[in-house]
Parts: sequence; structure tokens; C-alpha cells
Amino acid sequence: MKKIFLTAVLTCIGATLLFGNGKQETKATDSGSVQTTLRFSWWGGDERLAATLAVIDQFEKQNPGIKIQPEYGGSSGYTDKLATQLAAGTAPDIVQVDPEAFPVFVNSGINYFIDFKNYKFNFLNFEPNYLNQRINGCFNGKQFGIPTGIAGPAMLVNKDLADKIGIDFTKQYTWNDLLTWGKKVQSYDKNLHLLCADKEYIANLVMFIYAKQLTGKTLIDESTKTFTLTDTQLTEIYNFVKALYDTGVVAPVTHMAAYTGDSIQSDPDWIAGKYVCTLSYISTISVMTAANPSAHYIVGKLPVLPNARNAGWASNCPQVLAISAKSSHIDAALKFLDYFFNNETAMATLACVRSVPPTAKARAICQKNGKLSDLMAQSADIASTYGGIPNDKYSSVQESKQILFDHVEAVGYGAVTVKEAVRDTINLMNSYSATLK
Amino acid sequence: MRTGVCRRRENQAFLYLLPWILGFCIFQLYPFISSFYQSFTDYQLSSKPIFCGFGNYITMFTRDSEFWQSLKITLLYTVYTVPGKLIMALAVAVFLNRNIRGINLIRTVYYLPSLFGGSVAVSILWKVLLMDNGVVNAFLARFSLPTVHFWGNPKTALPAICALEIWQFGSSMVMFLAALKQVPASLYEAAEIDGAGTLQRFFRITIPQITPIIFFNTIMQTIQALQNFTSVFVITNGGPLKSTYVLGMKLYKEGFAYFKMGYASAISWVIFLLVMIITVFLFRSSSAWVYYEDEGKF
Repeated sequence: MKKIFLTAVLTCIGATLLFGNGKQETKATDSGSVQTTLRFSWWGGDERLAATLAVIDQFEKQNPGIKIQPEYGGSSGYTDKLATQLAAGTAPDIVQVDPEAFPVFVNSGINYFIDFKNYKFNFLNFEPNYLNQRINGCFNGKQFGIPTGIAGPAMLVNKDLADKIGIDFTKQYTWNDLLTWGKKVQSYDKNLHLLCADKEYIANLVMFIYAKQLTGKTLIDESTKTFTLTDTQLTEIYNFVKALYDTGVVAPVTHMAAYTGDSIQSDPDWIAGKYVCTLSYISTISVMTAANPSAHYIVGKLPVLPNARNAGWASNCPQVLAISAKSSHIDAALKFLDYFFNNETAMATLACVRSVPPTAKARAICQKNGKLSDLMAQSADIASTYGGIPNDKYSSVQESKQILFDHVEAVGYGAVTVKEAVRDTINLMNSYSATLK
Repeated sequence: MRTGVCRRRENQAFLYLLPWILGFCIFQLYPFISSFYQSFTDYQLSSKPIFCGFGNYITMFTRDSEFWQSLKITLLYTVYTVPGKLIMALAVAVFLNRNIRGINLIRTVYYLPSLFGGSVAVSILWKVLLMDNGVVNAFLARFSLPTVHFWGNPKTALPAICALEIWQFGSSMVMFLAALKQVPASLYEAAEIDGAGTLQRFFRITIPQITPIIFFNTIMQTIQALQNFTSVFVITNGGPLKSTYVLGMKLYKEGFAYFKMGYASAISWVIFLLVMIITVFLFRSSSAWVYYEDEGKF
């Protein structure tokens, strides 16, 4: 009897493993109507988490038949996980996507996301010119993503320290001015540095921009899929990068190694106010200022080469929200996103947790409520005045960027000469470009 | 002749084993076969796999200098950690193989680090301990010693990662302890009577007697070392200057950062073959240095 019972239990276990499906996206509620559960994934800090959960709560109260299951985490590894989920067909219904990774998914030839225009989503609050940009989720006239804000670069300045040393970021300046000021800072106090930046910030916000200003083109030509920098141009750029380290403009690479990526605000020297400024992003201004709240901050202009062929600096969006094409509840997902982007209460709740809001209506609400910080508003205004070309979709993917990160690091350590860095970068970027054809 | 009872019993046995069999097939056998197939394809995660024969392997061995660097780092990591861990484990096991007050508590304390395993929490703890403004550097600063950039210096990053791995010697220590207790006391008595000293007894009796466990630990630790990933991913992300860029990291980057799943699958199979080759070598060499009382016969 015991054996028969045990046999039956084990058979059930085996059957569950084979056929069990834990997902229940729709179920009947007590009142008899069907409840829909949507999964919504995003990355971000505590402020964004609290605001997004509050908006979800508001929406659920107004729509008792729809439940939103949040899936949130840090940005590190988020895109890797999302790529795996999309490939496996298990992605959440609504996903937040890095706009620089978005082209990889869209250009795969597989329909991972819906075209919002096919579902007549209400885009009336969005400026058409802003919405139609590729970086904001529009590809060949199809709107696969909705931009969550206006982002871009920002020169965040510790004004008290800058004034003490005699550095003025409010007037237009050049890249070489950064070197001059860096030496000035070091003469003032050897323990201070001008610019808080790790290898990734130097690659993304110095090399990319310097290159666009120097050549008037993006790093990889989108039509010919070729690397556009010549030996001479790349040498100039790497010489500048080397000078940043040699003159003490930035902290030694041995110090910054522990604070790469999302943790630059954890640099104890930034927390202690030992940097005059940081070349950052509008969406991370609040994170950087919160790390050292005692300082008085302003935002400054951004460096430009004399006789630059292109301004280089461009606004973009920090994230896009998209709906998975495999979602079983596209209508419910559209309803939620409509609330998320177009409802005034949602706009007030979300405020600037995803950078400067993408619609004029939301920006007006945030300014009225005092939620749109002056620093973020001024940064957005400054970034938009330059009007530079956005990065191309090929050089902004991780594989291409890693080549630059590695060589910035190698130059910083003195492990390679500038000549070697130039040669290796060109070889690797050409190899990478060859795979695009 | 198999009776009905025998057949029934066999069927019941199969049912008892069914959960494990299903789990093995779904979570191990299927990924195993699938990754083997994918290693012969150009499979971008965002698109369908396209068969490319040995293309991934040819690229790996002839055009990817980063692969050779990762291989070198992985082998260096293995050479540092495996002997280091075994020596630490054996030394502590010998120390703990005695009857003193509180010995059980001491044994537990030494075993605790290995309970944490290669976890993210332990890696974060070590990262913070050895950071420029971490506990270790704060201690050094107290004695006016210069800051050591453990994670920022390519020369110290890999040894620091190895130290984290060696610190978790508990499970090997427990096995050595059990083996030490199996060594017949009569051998030590006889040696003592013959005038053998402590060191002679250790090298002529203890070590040969526990060579099967040394062999087992060597195999297991080597396999673990060749597949290391967690500590490197959490602490250094393969840097600085790719000084800790083990094959596990390279596999992760290729598959999940660059979305080149086919190439990543090829790397995983190279790791598998590397583990197999080293394991076979160790087994073949064991006849020369591993002593079995029953001469290895079953």
C-alpha cells in the first residue's frame, strides 16, 4: 500500500515537471470578471522604484481588472537578461529598454515589440520631431518604443570649489581648456582633480564626442558600415585621453577601477568634494548631487573643439518603454502606458525619475510642483543648444564600446603607447565593422 | 528468469528515479546538446542560428587574441588556487586532527567560509574589504603604510581573487580531516619506534596514506577553478586591464553582452574539453603517486 502511494506521488511529481505551468495571467476575480496580470520590468534606483510603484498602484485602483507585476532591478546585467528573455519568448509584457541597445533587437528581423502606431496609441502630448528620432524608438516610420524622458550629457560643477580655484564653466570652452584647468586644480591642491570620470565616461563622453567634433561624422558610418576615424584623428584623440591622466585632470585609473559604470557616485573622493566637476548625464544628476549634498552645484557648458565640424553633443532619451509582441494582453499594456505617459496624476507622480519628462505637459506639471530641478532643466536646455549628431547604432553597442573602454584603460595605465592603442583600436574596430556587413 | 515481481520492482524503481531523470534531461542533457549544436552556428541572440561549421572554433584559435589571454589567466588562476587551497586545507586539517578542548568549535569556524560558497555576498564583502578606502587599507593607514590598490592594480587583482578562493578551503579541509583519521595509528607507532621524526612521519606515512583524498580534492578543485566566474564578475568585471578576465567572464561577455551565443557556446565547449583533458591527465598520472590499500581494485 505504502509503495503504491509512493509510486503515485512520484508519478505526480514527474507529470508536474513535464506539464506544469506556473503562469496564470488571467484568472477570475471574486466578482466573476476576468483579472489580467501584466509583467512590467525596468531598472533604476529607489526614487524611480517608489514613483513607478505609486503609478502602478494608481492605475490598478482605476482598473481593478488589471494587475501589474513589477520586475525591477539595477541596470547592471539588465540588458543581458532582457536579451535572453526576448530570445526565449519569456520577456515581460512591458519592458524598459536602453535606447542604445534597442537597435540590436529591432534590426534582428524578429518582431520583438509592437508598433504603437498600429494600435493608434495617443501620442498627442509628444513633439513629433522628438518622437521620430531613431534613438527615441522610431525605426523606418514604426514606433517600437516610447521615450521616457529627455536625456543627454551634463557638466555638473561644484561651484564653490570652481570659484575658489578660479574656473568658469559658464562660458564656452575647449577640450584643451580642461587640460589647463586640470593643471590649475593640481597646483591648488594635489589631492584634488578637475574631472570625476572613469574609463567608460571618458570613452562615451570624451572620445565619442571629440571624434564627432573632429570629423563631423559618427564613429561608424551607418550606410557603409565602416570605421570612420583615420590614424591621425585617433592619435589626436588618444593623446588627449593620455593627457587627461598625465596632467591629473582625472584621478588615476588605479583609483577609478573600483567605481566604474553605475558606481561612480560611490567614489569617496566625489563624496568628499575633491572633484571640481563631473561629465555626467542629465538622468544621473540627482544621484551625483545626492552623494555629496553639501556642495553647491551648477551645470556648465560642454567642451567644443575650435573649428569643430559638428557640435557633437546631442540630446537623447534615457530609456524607452516597449510592449512585447508576444504579450497576451497588448490592450491592457497599451492602457497602462497610456496612463503612464498621458495622465496628469501619473506625470506628477513620476516627475523626473526618468530624467526630464518627455512631454511639454509633464514638464510644466513638474515645474509647477517644483519637482523639475533647475539643474536638470538647465542641463536639458544646454544640451539641446548644441544640436550635434547622435551616435550611430553600430558603435553604440557594447561590443564596439568595449574596444574603446579597454584602450582608454590601457592608455591610462601606461600599458600601451598611444601608437599601439591607435593601431589596435583601428584593427579591432575594422574587424567588428566587417561583421556588420 | 525475471518474474512479474522483479519487473514490477524495476518499474517502481524507474518511477522513483523519474524526477531526477526528467530534471537531468531538461536542465542538463538538453542544454548540453543544444549548446553543442549552437557552437557550430552563427547565433546572435536577437536572430535565428545560421550553421557555420567550425567557424567559431577557427575564429577562437586563430583570430581572437583575447581568448588566449583568457586561457592564460584561467590556467594561472588554477595553478595559484588549487595548490594554495589544498596546502591550506591540509595544514589546517593536520592542526585540527587532535583532541583539544573546543576542537569541534574550531573545526566549525574553519569550515564556515566554504558554506558561503562562491556567492555574490562573499564577493561583495571582499570587494569592500580590499577597496582603496576599505578595512585593509584603513588598517595599513593606521601604521602610515601606503594604500594598496588591490582591485585597481593589474598585478594584485588576480592574487586577491585567488586569495578569496583559497579562503574557502573548508570543504577540502573536512575531507582531509576524515582521511587523516583513517590513517592507522600503528604505522605512526612503528615509525616512532624506528626513530622517525615528525616531519618524516608526515611525509612518509601521512601523505602517502591520504593520497586518494589529495587526488579527489585536486580533481574537484581544478574543475571548479577552471569554471570560475562569480567573484570575477562581481568584483573586477575581468579588469583591470583584463588581468582577471577568466574564460568564464569571456563566455559571459560574448554571450550576454555581445549577444554572440554561438561563439559563447563554442567557448563553453572548449572549457569542457580543457576540464576533460586535465582530468584525464590527472587520472593517468594517479597510478604513479596515488596509493590505494587495495591497489585500486574493487
